[in-house]
Amino acid sequence: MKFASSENVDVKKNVIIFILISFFLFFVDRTNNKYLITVRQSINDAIIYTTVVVKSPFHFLIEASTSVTNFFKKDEFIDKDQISILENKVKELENEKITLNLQLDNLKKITGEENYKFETVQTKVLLYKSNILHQTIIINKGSNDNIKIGDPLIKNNILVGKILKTNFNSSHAILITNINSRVPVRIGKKNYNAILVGNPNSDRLLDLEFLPKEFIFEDGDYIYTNSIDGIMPDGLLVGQIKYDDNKKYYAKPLYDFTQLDYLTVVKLNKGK
Amino acid sequence: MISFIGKYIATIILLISVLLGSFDVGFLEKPISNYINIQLILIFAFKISNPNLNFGRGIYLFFISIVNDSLNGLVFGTSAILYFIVFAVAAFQSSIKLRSIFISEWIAFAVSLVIAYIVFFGLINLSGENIVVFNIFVNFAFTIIGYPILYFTIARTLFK
Repeated sequence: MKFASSENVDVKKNVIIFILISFFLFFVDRTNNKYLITVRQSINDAIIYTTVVVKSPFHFLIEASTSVTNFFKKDEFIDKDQISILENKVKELENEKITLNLQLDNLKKITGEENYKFETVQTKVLLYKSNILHQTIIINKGSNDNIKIGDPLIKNNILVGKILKTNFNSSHAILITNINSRVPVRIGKKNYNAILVGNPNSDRLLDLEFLPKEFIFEDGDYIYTNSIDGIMPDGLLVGQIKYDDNKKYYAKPLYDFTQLDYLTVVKLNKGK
Repeated sequence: MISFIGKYIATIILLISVLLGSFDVGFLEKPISNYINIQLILIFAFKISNPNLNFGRGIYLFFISIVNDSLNGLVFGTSAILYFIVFAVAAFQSSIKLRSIFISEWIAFAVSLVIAYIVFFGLINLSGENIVVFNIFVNFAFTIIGYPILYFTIARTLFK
């Protein structure tokens, strides 16, 4: 049987003091004072990179066990011929992209549409965190690389999320499936405008808000970003419309949740 | 070395749970951390199991909460408020009891969670972010259900 010691009396005072300090810190951190932002960014960077170092042995163990498991799976061996076929396919697609871009530029000149060019930066995902509020990913580029809050994150030209908070050498980003994410989009061949938000019930589905009163989706219709107000580049792939067995539509993101190791940040305010 | 670990075991385990909480273990299309708040269980269970445990008079607890806020992209102080509410209830519960009655401790934990989640909801609303209330209920329920497992593990192994 254990009894509370006299030291606990001091601790109770400390608890009250720390609760008051925490409230003070909360309200101070919400103010966007530039000196406090600098302190916060430095603390965040230090904690994030320390966490990455601390976690690295665990990551190594997980990756090593996965590699060993894959080694004993015969089907996992990659045929050299298959690699060269895929390399050729990549080259073919690259060339096709160049041709299509040229055609698109010409068409934009004819139609008089503005031609935006956005600077991009490659990033590595350092950490993935999830709580009841949101799922965040932490990337290894921050304000030192001119990354700003709201910049879109893409993977293979598919929108993944956007920057929520920047530190000096790291940034927090939320995925488009987050309920706090808002993305202006166009849908399908009829170009319906809507706002894409995360689905509160599933992290693998999306919701569409502010759709026109009458709309008809086709199964497989693609969802693209819309450049309204310049908060997103135009034409990034986001998701796809699907119909379930009850003929009810749902929207799902196109990116692969298991392939979020490396991402690209599109700098909106650069290179216009 | 062993005495050092023994002295700081609660702080070390809590810190590890915060640092390693980013492994994506999913269940029903949501990460497991959406269903259960292990840190709050650990704080309460450690304090109840060992009333003399004070997390360095609260300093380590405050430090760990800042780490958690930083990694989760929360406003600094959010986790600290939750941690200290749960810690305060646990400290009160451990000081009024003469012997350990699990049910009363479990109810006290539920009360501390109710207070902590109401405050959390208020703070998030102040931050202007959307939150799904149903998710809070689910997290609350599973955290209460998960308490006995961690409590008995801690009480029977670390502080027996």
